Amino acid sequence: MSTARFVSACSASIAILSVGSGAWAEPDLKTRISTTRPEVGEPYTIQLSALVQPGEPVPGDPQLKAPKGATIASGPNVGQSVVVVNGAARVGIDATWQLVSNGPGKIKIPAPTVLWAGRRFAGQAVEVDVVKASGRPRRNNNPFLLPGGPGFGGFGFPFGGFDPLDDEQRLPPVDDKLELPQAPDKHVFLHAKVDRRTAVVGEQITVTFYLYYDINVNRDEYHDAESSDFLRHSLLTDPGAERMRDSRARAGGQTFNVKFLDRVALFPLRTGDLHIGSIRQYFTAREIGSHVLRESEDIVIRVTEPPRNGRPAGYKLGDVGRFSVSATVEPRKIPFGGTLAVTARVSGNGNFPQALGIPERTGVEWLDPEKRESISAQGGIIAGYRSFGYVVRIKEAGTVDLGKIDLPHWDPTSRKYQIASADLGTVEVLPEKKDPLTSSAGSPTAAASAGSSGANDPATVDPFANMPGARTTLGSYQPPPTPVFDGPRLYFALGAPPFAYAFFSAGLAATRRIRSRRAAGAVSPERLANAALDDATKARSTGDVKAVCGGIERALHHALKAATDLESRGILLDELVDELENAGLAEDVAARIQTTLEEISTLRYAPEATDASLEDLLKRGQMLVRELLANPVRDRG
Amino acid sequence: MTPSRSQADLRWVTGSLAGLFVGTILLTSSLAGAEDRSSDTLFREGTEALAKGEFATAIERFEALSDMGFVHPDASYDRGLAYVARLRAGADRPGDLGRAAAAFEETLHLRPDDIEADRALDIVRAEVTKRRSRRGKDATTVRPTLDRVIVGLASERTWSFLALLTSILFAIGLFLRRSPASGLSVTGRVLAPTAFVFFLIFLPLTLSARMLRQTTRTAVVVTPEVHLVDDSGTAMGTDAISEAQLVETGEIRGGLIHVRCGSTEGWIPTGSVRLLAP
Repeated sequence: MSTARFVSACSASIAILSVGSGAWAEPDLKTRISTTRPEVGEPYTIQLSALVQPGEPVPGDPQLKAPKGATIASGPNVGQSVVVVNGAARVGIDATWQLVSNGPGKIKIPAPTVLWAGRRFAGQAVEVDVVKASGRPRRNNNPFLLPGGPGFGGFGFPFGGFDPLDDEQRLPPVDDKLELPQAPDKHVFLHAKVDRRTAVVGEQITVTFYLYYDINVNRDEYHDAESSDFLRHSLLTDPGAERMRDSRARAGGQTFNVKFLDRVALFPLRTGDLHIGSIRQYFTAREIGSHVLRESEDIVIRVTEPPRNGRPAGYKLGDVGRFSVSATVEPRKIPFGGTLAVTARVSGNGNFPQALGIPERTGVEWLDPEKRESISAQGGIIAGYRSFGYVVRIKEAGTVDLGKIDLPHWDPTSRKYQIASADLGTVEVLPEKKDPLTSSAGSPTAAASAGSSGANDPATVDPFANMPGARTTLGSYQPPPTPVFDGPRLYFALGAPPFAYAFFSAGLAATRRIRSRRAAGAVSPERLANAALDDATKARSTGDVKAVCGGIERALHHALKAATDLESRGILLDELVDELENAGLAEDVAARIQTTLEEISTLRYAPEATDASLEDLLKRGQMLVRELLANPVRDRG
Repeated sequence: MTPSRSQADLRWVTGSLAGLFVGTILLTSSLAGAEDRSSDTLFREGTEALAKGEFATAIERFEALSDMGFVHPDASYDRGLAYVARLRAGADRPGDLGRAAAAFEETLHLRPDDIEADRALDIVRAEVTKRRSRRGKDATTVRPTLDRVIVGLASERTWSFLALLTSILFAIGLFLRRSPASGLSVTGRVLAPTAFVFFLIFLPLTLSARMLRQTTRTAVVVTPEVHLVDDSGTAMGTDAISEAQLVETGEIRGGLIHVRCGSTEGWIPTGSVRLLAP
C-alpha cells in the first residue's frame, strides 16, 4: 500500500460522519474526548471539530445535550480551526465542552451538533466508563483518543492556539514552597518572599516578588519597592526580559497561578528594624474592577552589627562578603618626587567596599583612587570585582616599603571575620638631584632663596610643630567612680534625715497623745463609777452602811454623768426624774434611779438597816450603773 | 542502692561540680586576659605605627581600641596625635582637625589636669581658627547658658554631697529646736531654716547635674562646619557650628542628633559629631 493510499484510508476511517449537501460538500465532523475512563469528579473534555471547504459557510451554533450521570461544567468554547491535510485546506470551528461525572458507571454522551446551511449536523456519540475517584494525580493521557482505543491519535491541533483538551496538562505544577497560609485577596495579590529576616549591615538579603492570581487580569503600571535603607541590586541578568517558570501555589486553601515578577539583592546600610518596602502594581479585571492597586507585604528585616568581639582593626561597617585582594605596583623604580600607580583589586561576592584602608604614612602621599568595577548577579549572589587605582607620590629617597592593603570583612558563611591582604612590597626611589647653583649655601642665590623662603622654617610652616610627643605606655588612670547615691538611693539619702525627724516627731506626738488619753481615762466618769461601786462592795463586806450608801450614790452620779453628761448632784431628787428624762433617759430608768437615791438617803441615816436590804440596794445600784454605762444617751443619739 | 554506690555517686557529683567551677573560673579569667592583651596589643601597635609615621595604621588601631570600649586618656591622646600626623603629612581628610580635637577633649574629660592634652587642644583649635579666617570666616565664641554654667560649677558628686549635707543639717536643726536647753534650741532655730534654704538650692542642682549626665553627652564637631536644622529638618538659619567645637548632644532621631551649642539648639547629622567617652 502506498503512503498516499494509507493516509487516505486513515482519513476515511477517522471521518465519523460526512453528509452531502447540495452544491457544497457536507462538513467533516469529528468528535473527540480527552479520556474514556474519567474518574468521578474529574473534569474531562469533549470536542466537536466541524470543517468545511474554504469559501463555504462556517458551521455554527454548536450544541451538546447533557448526558445522564454527567454535567456540563463549561462550554461550548468555540474557536476557529484551519486544517491542511495532504495539501488540502479545511476551515471550520472547534467546539469544546467540559464535563464532570457525578458517579461511577458507563455514560453515553450524546453526539454534539452544529448548524450548517440551515441544517443541524451531529458528530458521534461517545461512551465513557466513569470510575471511582482514586485520588491519584491526573493522568497524562492522550486527549485525542477516540472511543474504540488507540489508532486515531496523531492528528491533534496542528495550528496551536488555545488547546482546551490539554488544560490539565498545560497547568504548571503546584509549588509547595510558595504556599501561603492566607490569601490577602481572593483573586489577585502580590507577595514578597525574603530568604532571611535577620542580617548584619552589608549582608545580602534576597527578595523575590510574585503575583498570585486566579482570574484573567490586565497588568497596568508597576512600581518598584522603595528600599531606602538598603543598597539594591537586581538579580535578573536581563531585567525586564527574564522570566522564570510560572507555577501554581495554594494560598488560604485556594489554588492560584503564580507569576514571578522580580528578584533583588538588598544590602542593609544601617542597623535597626528596616523595611524592605512594597512593590505596587495596578490591575484591571472584570472581577476586581479597573485600575485596582495591589501592594506586596512590607517585610521588616532586623539588622544588627557583626559581633564586636574579635572585630579586626580597620573593619568598616558594611564590608560583608567573601573577598580577596590583589595589587599591582608600577613602576618599582621612580625618581625622587615621582609617582607610581598602585592598583588594588577586590574580587569576590557580597557588599563590595567603597574604600580600602591604604597604608598611608608620612612621606608617602596617596591620591584619591579611581574606581572601576564589574559587579553583577551571578547565581543569585552579587559577585565580580572592584578595583581602586591610586597614584602614589613618594617624598623620600631610597627603598620605601609601601606596606600592605588590608580588607577586614565579615564572612557571613563562616560567620567569622576575615582579613584579605595584598602586600605592596617595596619601591626604589632615586636620590634627589640637586641643582649645584642652589645647593651651594654660600652663593648669593642660595642666600636670597633662604631669605625669601623663611617660611620653610618648620616652626613657622608646620602649625603642629610644637605638638607634644606621643605616649608609648598607658599611664595610671582611675575611671571615675560610679555615684554612691544614684537614682532611688539618691532620693532616699536626701530625704532620709528630714523624714527621720518627721517620724521622730510623729512618734513623740503619738506617745504624748497616748499618755494624755490614759490620763484622761483615769478621771473618766465610767472609771469613777466603777471605782465607786468597788468601794461600795468593799464597804458591804465590812458592814459599813454609810460607806456602802456613799459608794452607790457616787457610782450612780458618775454613771449618770457618763451616760447623759448631766451633773446630777446639784439636782433635787424631786426634779431628778424630769431632768433625766429631758436628758434622754427612759422614764422607768429615771424613776428607778430616783427611788434608789431616795433609799440611799434613808439608809444613810438609818443604821438599823438589815443586811438583806443593804445587799439588795447594792445589787440594784450595780445593775443601774451597768445599765447606764452600757447604754449611754450620747451614743443613742 | 547500696551505701558504697551512693557514696561513689556523691563523690562523682561533687568532683564534677568542682571541675565545672574551676573550669568556669579559668575560662572567665582567660577571656578577661584575652581582652586585656587585645587592648594592650592594639595600643602598642598604634604607638609603634605612630612612631614610624604610619598614621593610617595608627588611626586604625586607636579607633579599634575606642570601638571596643577601651577608655583611657593616653589612648585618646595618642589617637589625637595620629590625626595630627595625618594633617601634618598633608593627607588629611575633612574633619581630621575635629577628630583630633575630640580625642584631646576626651583626654581632658578623663584626666582634667593633663597639661599636654590641653596644649595640644589649643594648637588644634588655633589651627581651626586660622583655617576659618583664611576662608573669611570669623572665629565663633560660644558661651554656655547660665543654667549650664551654674550646674557646671561643680561635679554631680559635689552637688549631691552638698544636698545630702544640708539635708542632714536641716534634720539636726529640727531636732535641736526641740531641745529644752535654750542655747541648743536657738542653734536649731537658726540652723534648720538656713540648711533648708541651702537644701532647696543644692537639690535642683543635683537633679540637674544628674539629668544632664543621663540625657546628654559631650561631643565635638568633626566636619568643617555644620548647620543646625529644626525638628522638621528645615535649616534654622543660625550661624554654622565650626569644626572642633564642643557641643552637648541629646536625643538621636534617625540620622539626626540633637545638639546644644551655647544657647542654640537644633539637629545635625549624627556623623558630624564625635561623642566623647562618658
